[in-house]
Amino acid sequence: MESPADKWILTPIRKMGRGPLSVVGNMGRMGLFLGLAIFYTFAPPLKFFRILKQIRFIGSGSMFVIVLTGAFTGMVLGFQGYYTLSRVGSTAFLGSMVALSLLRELGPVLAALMVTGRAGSAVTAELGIMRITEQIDELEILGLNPFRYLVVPNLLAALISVPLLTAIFDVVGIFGGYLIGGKLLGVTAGSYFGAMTDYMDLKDVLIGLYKSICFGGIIAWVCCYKGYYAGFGAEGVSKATTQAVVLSSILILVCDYLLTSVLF
Amino acid sequence: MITIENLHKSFGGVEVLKGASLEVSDGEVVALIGPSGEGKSVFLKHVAGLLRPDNGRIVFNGKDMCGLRQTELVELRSRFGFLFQNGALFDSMTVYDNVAFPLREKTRLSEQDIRGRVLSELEQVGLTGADDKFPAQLSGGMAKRAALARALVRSPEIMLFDEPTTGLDPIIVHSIHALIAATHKRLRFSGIVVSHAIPAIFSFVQKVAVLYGGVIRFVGTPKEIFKTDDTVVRDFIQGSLPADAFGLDEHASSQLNVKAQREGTR
Repeated sequence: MESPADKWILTPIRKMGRGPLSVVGNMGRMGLFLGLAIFYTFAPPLKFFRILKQIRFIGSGSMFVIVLTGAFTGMVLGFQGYYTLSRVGSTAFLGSMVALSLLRELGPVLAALMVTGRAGSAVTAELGIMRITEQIDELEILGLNPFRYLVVPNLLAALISVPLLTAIFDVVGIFGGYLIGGKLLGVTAGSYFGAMTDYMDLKDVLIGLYKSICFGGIIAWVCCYKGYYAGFGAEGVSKATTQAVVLSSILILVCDYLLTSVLF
Repeated sequence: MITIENLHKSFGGVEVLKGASLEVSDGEVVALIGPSGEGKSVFLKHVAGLLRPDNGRIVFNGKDMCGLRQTELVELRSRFGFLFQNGALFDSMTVYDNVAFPLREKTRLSEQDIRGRVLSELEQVGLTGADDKFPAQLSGGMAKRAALARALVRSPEIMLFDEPTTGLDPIIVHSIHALIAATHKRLRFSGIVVSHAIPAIFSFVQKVAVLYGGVIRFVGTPKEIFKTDDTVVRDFIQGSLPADAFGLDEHASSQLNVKAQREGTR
């Protein structure tokens, strides 16, 4: 029989503590997971065929969606930038504005979000199904390390693919901006691309590169973790996939803010 | 020889195993039976090193598996074979690639030698001609046999079977049991078979263990289990017969029980 002290004091305190304890526990497990993934990345042998397969899936498979979103983002920037700059009579700076926005912010963030939605969710679902059908246990029984087979290839593939996809996103976006600014609104090619080279330096390119590498790591880390520890049944996999996409997206945006404030 | 001592395991505050102990001698196959949800698969996964016990020891050839480092455990596990309940075939690979996978990854055999071994193993389990099929194209029985071929292709010293016949029709159940018995004769592995196929399972095992209430309640030969004084074990064995499941009357039920006892004591 529960005493009144237990019922009114200890039980509510226990309930309050359960949430934060679970969050801290999960963070610890995620940290450990990342540590192991990094360890096995540097501990040979690497599974080159699987890495190539995942680069094809995450990188090459995301090309269409990246080109499409890059083009439309650049076109919107062309319109919006022209409208803003025309207010102060500086439409000649449209090229640098579009390029700076894409390279430093929109390119890395939007490309990473698109890769999360297209490839990250699929990675979580695949690992989740492997978990619930005991295929990951089977790997362990065969004396093979699941991290080496499943996590490291995804991590390396994302670290390689996401920066390249971001670069494609940026280039397509810049030409999308030119299509609107140059062909539709009358900004000359010389002024558009000239302003770009005048007001940008290597640092802007590198900031975008650093960000996209970090975002690639976040996508692989979160999506693999959620799939690797997916719950039971179809519901468990579906929950894991949703959580992977939501958590990856949030972490990408938080990490973007932190990197922007550090590298500003 | 495997000795499992005083195994304890809890999940989310619920204690599933409460001090289960069992010994499996070299070349011996033990049937692990018991009501559903008692933790038989959990017990088996501990033996395979897939789960770590909260308390207790699993000793294999004098080594405590719970105290081993990851690399030592991986090495030890490669001497184990495990047949999962649903086969756990890699669904992105064909049957051939599934069976060849352990050889490609863990041995230095040439592709030609691997091909010979795989085709021979598939022939042993009666899957000749199914090597280019994907797991999704197989029936339940075929998937189990393919998984058995993969488990046996490296000639394991210890074989663990997690409900190898669940969900299969009686003819396939019989053929899977015959296959396990034949491969045991061929490879002389030690093994544990978790099963609900009572009394059919008694036909080829040397010992029977009953997991009940989180502990191994009974260990003995198939003959001894029908003579036990333990009413819980006796009731379970009798209740496990198909009579109850098919709602037969008392007379039919008792007839089936008598028949099962005869088969078990044969």
